[in-house]
Amino acid sequence: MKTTAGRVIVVDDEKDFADNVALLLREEGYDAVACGSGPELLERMKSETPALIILDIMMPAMTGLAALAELRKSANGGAVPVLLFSASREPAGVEKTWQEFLPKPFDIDELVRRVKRLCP
Amino acid sequence: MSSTASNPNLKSNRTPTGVPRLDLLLKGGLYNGGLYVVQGAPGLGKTILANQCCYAAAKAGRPASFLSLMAESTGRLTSYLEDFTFVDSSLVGGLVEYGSAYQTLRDHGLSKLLELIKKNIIARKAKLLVLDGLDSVENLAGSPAEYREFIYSLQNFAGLLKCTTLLLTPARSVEERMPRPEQAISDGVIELTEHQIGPRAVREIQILKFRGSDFLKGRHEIEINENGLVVHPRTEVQFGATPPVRPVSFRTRLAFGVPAFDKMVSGGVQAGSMTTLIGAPGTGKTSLGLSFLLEGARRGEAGVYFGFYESAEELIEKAETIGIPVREFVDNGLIEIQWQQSVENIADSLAERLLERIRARNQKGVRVFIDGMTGFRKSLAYPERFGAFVSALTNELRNIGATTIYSEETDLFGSEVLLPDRAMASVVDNVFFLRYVELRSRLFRLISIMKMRSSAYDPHIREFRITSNGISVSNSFSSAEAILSGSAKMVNAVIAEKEKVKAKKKKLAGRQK
Repeated sequence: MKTTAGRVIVVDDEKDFADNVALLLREEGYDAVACGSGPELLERMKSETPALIILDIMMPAMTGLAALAELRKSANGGAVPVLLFSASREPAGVEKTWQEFLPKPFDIDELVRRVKRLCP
Repeated sequence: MSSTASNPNLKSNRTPTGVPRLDLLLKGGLYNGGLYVVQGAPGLGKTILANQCCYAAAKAGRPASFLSLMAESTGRLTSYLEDFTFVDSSLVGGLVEYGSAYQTLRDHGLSKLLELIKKNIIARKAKLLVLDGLDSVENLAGSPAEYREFIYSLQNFAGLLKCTTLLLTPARSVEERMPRPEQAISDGVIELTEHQIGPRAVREIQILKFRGSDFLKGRHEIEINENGLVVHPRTEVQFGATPPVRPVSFRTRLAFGVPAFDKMVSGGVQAGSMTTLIGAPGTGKTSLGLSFLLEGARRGEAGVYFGFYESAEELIEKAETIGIPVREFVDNGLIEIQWQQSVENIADSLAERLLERIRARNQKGVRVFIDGMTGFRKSLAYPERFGAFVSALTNELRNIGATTIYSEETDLFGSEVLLPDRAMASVVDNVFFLRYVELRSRLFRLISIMKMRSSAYDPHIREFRITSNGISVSNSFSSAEAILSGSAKMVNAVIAEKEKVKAKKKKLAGRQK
């Protein structure tokens, strides 16, 4: 399974938002791509292992938490760092399988700082 | 110009525009990352306004990008701006950057334009973006949907990076009933207009939409001067809502320095009150008003003269000839003379100037004499505003602790006594009436008190004299009949009495011979 150094996958059902975050991370030197849903992420994971996943929680087809649960069961998704973001609060009362949480709206500089921390 | 430091109402998620008093209309600047449309016909000041925003951002350390979507070169644009005081040429090429995106748009379309804009914002870490010529985007879009998508995408991206965006676009046809896409999508719409009222061209600004905050509604006059575009919010909207605050010392009486008259008014007008001097030309309104300021100055109280007729030097010289020596106090700054030229003024600008000069004195209890309320009246583009305008101005004058006298002119010889504007009746506290009376081929001046709110006063009519020794008020003119009708007749009894006295004197003189 190919591990793509510096590959960051941004998952958000708002395509514009995902594309914009990916663009900003590319300007910071990351190999960032946008992805529109949980199922799309899981499909990608069959052929690549990113260095970081930035994952929205509130998505219609499959919530971010559901996608994360599936990710952790997959062969190559168990150890990939995940940064969750959402307009709602950080999930509580569930096993914490993510590394960072960033509430929306967030400062883009703060996002970049967190990404650099998780994906130096 | 507004700044975070000078505007305590500015929250940290809002940015000062740098356009004088526009932040007042917006109740606190533009939201960081917001997307705003500035629309108006060519030549009304959209580009100037946008540039003021750019330089204000830059001076606060926030990079600004001005991208033109028109065929005009940016060099031409910057040459038009160089005489404005807000321009700092040392910032150009650094914190303020000008560029043209027209060719990208024309040759490669909206998606490439968007890509260029995004890269510009990222590379410069721009916190303000201006796109001048949004109509070019619409004209070159493949479809209305593509145009809408462009604006949405730009709004999302700029919002994410907290880059405030201004989209400049020409005025729209009044026949278009549906909101324009950019108006519907944007966080706010600012409109500049110009129309004719008689021979006068009136330029105005209106906030049509502003998400997230209340704003001062309606149209407000604007002008373009060496400082750029300057907004003059309607006085009644700026100040009308604030309830008047009675000064702590409102029971204090402010005298005129004319002993008999001060006695008539129980020692003077109350601190914080508004008084009108009504009278025909030449009856002595200016003299009495100046006397009011002089008396205050003699007691160490600051005074402001705000007039429309005579220059400062003319006024001082005229005052000296009638025994009102104000020069010393003008020279030492205790009395300030503000003369407004008789050109087309903006009433709200005049009110701002007056209030600013009073506040600048930084003293409690400033005496103010407005010589000619007509000056304000004539400056109003919409005469029907006068009542509300004066009410708000009076409100604010009281709130800042001023005691105000203003003069109003009436007809030379009229038979009725009416306030020139009925709207003033409820606003003023005191009304003093000066007029001429013709008596045996002589003109006499008379003064009377028509009204004094919450105060006793002498209701008698008195003769009012202006000589080289100043103003004096003499005994009651009660022997005259029908004074207020404009013609005085000696009552028969008085005439007979005078004849009797005359005859007695003659007889006495005859006996002595």
